[in-house]
Amino acid sequence: MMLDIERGQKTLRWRFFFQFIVASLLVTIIMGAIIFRTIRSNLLDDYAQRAMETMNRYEERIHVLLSLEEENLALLYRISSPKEYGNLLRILIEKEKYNASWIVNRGGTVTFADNPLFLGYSFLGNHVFKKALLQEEPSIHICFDHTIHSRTIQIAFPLFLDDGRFEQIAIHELNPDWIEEILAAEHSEQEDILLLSNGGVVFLGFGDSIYRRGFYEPGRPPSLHDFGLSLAEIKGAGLQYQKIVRDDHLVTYKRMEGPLGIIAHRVSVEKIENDLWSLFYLVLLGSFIALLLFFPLGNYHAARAMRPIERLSKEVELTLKGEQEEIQEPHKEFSLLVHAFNRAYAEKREAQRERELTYQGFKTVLDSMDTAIYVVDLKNHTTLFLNRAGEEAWGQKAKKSPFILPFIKERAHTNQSFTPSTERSWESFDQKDNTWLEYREMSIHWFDGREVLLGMARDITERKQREELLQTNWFIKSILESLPYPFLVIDRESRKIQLANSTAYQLGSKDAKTCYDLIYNRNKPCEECIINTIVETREPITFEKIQKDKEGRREVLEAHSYPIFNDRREVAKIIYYTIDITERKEAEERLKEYTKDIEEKRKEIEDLYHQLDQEIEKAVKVHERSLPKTIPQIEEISIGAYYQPAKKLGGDFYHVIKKEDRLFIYLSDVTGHGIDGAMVSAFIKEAIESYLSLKKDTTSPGSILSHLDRQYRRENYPEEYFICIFLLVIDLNTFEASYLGAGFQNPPLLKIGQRQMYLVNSGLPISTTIPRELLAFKEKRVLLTKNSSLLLTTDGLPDQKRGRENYDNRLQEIFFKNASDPPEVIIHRIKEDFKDYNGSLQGDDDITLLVLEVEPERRKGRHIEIERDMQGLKRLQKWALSLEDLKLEEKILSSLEELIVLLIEHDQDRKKTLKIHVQIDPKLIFVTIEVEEEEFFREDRLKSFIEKIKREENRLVIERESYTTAFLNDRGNKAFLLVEKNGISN
Amino acid sequence: MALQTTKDKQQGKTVFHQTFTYTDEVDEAYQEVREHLKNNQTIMALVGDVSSSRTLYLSELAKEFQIPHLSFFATDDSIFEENPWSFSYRYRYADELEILQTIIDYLDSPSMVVISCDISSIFNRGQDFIESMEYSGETILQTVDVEHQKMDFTDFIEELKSNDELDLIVTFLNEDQFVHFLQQLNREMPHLPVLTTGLILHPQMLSSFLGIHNPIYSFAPYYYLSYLEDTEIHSFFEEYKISLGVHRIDSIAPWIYDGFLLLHSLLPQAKSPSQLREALETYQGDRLLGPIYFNQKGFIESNTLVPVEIHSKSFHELSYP
Repeated sequence: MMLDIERGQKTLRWRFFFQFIVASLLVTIIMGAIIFRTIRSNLLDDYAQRAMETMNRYEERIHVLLSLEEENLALLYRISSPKEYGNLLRILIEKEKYNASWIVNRGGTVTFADNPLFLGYSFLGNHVFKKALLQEEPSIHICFDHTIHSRTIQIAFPLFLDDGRFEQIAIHELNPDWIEEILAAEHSEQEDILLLSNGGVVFLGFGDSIYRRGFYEPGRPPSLHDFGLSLAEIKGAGLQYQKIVRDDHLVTYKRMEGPLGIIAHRVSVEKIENDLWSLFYLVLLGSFIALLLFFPLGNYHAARAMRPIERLSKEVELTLKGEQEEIQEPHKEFSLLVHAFNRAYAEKREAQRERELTYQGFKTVLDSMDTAIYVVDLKNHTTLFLNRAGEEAWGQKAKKSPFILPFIKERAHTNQSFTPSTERSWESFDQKDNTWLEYREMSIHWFDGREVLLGMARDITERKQREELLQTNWFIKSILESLPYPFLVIDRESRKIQLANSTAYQLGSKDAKTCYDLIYNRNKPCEECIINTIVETREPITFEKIQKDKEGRREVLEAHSYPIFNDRREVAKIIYYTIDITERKEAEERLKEYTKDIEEKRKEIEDLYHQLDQEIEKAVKVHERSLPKTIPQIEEISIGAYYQPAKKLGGDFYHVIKKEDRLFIYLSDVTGHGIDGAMVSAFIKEAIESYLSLKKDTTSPGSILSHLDRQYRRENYPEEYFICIFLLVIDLNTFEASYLGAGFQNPPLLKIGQRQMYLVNSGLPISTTIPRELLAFKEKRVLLTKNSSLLLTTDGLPDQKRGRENYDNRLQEIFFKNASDPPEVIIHRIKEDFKDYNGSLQGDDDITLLVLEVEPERRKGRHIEIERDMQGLKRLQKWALSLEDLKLEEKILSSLEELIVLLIEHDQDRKKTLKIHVQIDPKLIFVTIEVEEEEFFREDRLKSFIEKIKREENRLVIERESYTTAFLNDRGNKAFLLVEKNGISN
Repeated sequence: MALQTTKDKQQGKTVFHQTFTYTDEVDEAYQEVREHLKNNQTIMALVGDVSSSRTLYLSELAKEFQIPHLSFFATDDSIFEENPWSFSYRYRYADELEILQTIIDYLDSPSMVVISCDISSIFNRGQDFIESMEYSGETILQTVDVEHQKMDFTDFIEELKSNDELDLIVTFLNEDQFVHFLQQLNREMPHLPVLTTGLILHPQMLSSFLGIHNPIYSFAPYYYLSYLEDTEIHSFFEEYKISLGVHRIDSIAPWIYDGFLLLHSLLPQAKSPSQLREALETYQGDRLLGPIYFNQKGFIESNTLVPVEIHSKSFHELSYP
């Protein structure tokens, strides 16, 4: 307490001190600012006054110069007769101060001019002419003259004849440079002067700091903006000077008397600013010195102000300690305060005594109660009072001071309310003591007047336990009653029913007391009682029993018995319940019969499937056999084909037929991949072949497809089938191809040289659902030249999807890139790429590819048939040596020989013929080895050959850096050897 | 480098025009403007510069700081096509020849003499006019080329007097030459009609034409017609002269004036430079100067030139059927 008083007094003393210092500083700053402003204003006024004097001087000088010039001119005209005006003007122009001079008649026409060119010019629009004409007085105007292209001071005055008649006006244009030179010579270097026209354009200017620069034209005249002036300010200028400070300059300006415009003066205010800074530092220094003086003064002032306060504080302290009844000294400064304190303190002591008495009574009453009662301070939550029962409950902790009850602390942490407006009660379970407490709380005013929380806590554990027991019994009973089957608890010794649901009593008499009475309607226990077995085994028992229900029907029950053990681990009670499983049992029996039936049916279906598989196998063979085994050999044309059905049996079909000098190629795709699809394909083949054999003359694609459509409708196929077909007919003499598509959405790709084309011709598909009138077979034509490659494919390949993209773009890219390769190579490349794209060659739909090439001239080819024995091999060697024009290198030949030797070694039947075809072009060497029988070439055999080639590359392979591939056709009757090599030349 | 600031109150907003003028290296000026843009985030638009090569510098700055940029003089279309922040306000005399042809038609295909000075921008126009007239079968009696300093045309006028077939004299002369030519023609042939290129005309020249009796035909921007009543354009011309420090306005002043007006009219609806850019891009309205249309690249698609006859100290629109 003492420390607090001392600290408070110190703070108060500091406060007095600082207030004094702050007040003193404020006064100093305000005084300083007033002095600063006054001096600055005076300084600027002084500068402006000097500027005004300068401007007045210049204005006077200009007026004097112009008046003198005017008088001189007037004198000249007075002494000259009108006839001499011409000479007069010529004399004047020799003076450099004149730009031009004219004598103009009242009609505005030039009658005399220093430059004869101007004679006859009209001055009607001239401002100074009009003014002189109207006022018959001399006038001056500053302007820009378009005819002489110069700024100028025009002086005009009327000329009167001897008889006083006014007939003519003399106009002289003074060069402003003349005045500028005179004034500049008299000019101080520290200031700038601008003379502006009334429109604000600078007319004259002198002074070193006027810069003459600008983007528009080099050395432009200065602008009033260079002085920091705006047009509005100039327009508002009067005869009295005005001053502004812009860009560290004091600018003073005013309108000059007469038509001469504006004069502006500018001087740097750097000096003023320097003076002002010095002044500022002086004021700052003064303030600092004043501040130093204010420190002891402030200290003295604070000490003096604190003295009576300290005396009074001491008195108050003694009174509060009880060392004296009241404040004794008179304390003139605080007499009112002292009197009020003494009276209030006396009242407080009286009230204190009364409260103490009341508190004792209150405590005695509450201590006598067995309910714990607590009073808590609402602000800091400390316990103000705890009765005896409360001390017994929380007494250990109550020794601490200040003490916060544990549940109050918990509530304070969870920010719960402590100020119930009305009485509030709740129940709480204490997990530590395993007790239930009932709390009641309300807010009241404590003896010292503050609002406190009065609370009572009562142990209600016993009441709670009773309530819980009642609730548990009711719960178990409810569960038992909800069971749909009988449930019993039987005493082991007496067999008496101790607990049973109402369903159990439906077994027998409602009054039955024992299990045998209830279940078996007996008056004594059964001889073979399961309870005995459970007592023996101590294990639960489940068994089935068959009996008849009340209505005499057979029912199967599943009985369950469980032992209940007492504290001594002996079987004391038995739980017994039965479940009616009659329906389940019946269902199980029915299921057994069904399973037997299903097994029989499955066997029947299996047999059917087996038969069907055999049929499909046959159909596959029929479909495959109907695909062309060999493709006709045509001079200058190579054809390769590939077919991969989506399922076992495909809907795609292709055929290549040569009839006389025409080649017929078609690709068809029929909806469905089953036997039906294959049958329709067979129909197409049959229809086209029969047409070609019968109609030898009209073999255009249109006529063939019309025939196909007619036949198809005649056969009356069901509506769900659609035939998509693309037919190409090539004239083998001219290589002109005519083509036609029906429902063929993927146009064949054609590359002729470097030109990439699409043979678009997709009409409607052939189907009985599509009316015949809608079908319009319009064929198109294209001329195939050497080096043409054509790719025909059904939708299976281009429409194959991977994610969202399909294979179409990639197919086009790979075809157009490799279109110059032989067809089998192109097909091989597409297959490899598709495998990489799709993971396997098996697509979602049938894949059919047909590549036709009109062989390029650069490719050379030879063909030989040999026996598959050593004799044949020798023939091959001999043949190869004869192929000089092919330049079949020895290494290539040895590779080929190696392959043939391999074929001879691995096959017993050596007498069969090998057809060998060699093609060479600058990029590759392509060898085809063909035998008659299918499936002759096997993948594994070829693989070992390739590996061998790689192992012995140096010895065997054609050349280093070359790349050799071997592959088979899908029938297995052709093996291909492909050597790609950049370095192989023709 | 001089910095000048002018204020203009536009619908409660204060618009500052800050002018950068320079005579030194353009790189230096460019760096200074760049520094200024960096330190002043409130700049709404850039205007300038004189030539295409210099305009390119400003265009780069406009792109860097994303501020709309309006150019009056650059002729290089690629500046505006490549930079979405740059717009052109070049007054292209696209239909100048058509208007001159209209006047020729109005004068009922007169026989004419054409006089041209050697200033390239004027001379080329003269050549285009001659070609166009020859193409459309008009009669050109004589073509004369003169130096741009030549002010004495008396010999030429004397020659004209002897030509009986002459109906019209067509001039492609500079401003000063045209004043002298008219004064001299007025003396000798005060009734011969004169047709001049409108490129050199501006309203403040008109007082020089008082007392000239020759009918004068030309073309002029639409707003020249109301020049005497239009205080706004008056005050702009004053400002323009003062800013450039010259004593007269020239024929490019109206273009700049028009461009500034356009920016001012769009500023109230644009709260940011990007909104101003969008407003410039989509601008298709009518204004004081008549209908001027921007295309998407910022070029004016049609202009406001009208055929005029000059008399009584003002421009009068030529009314023809």
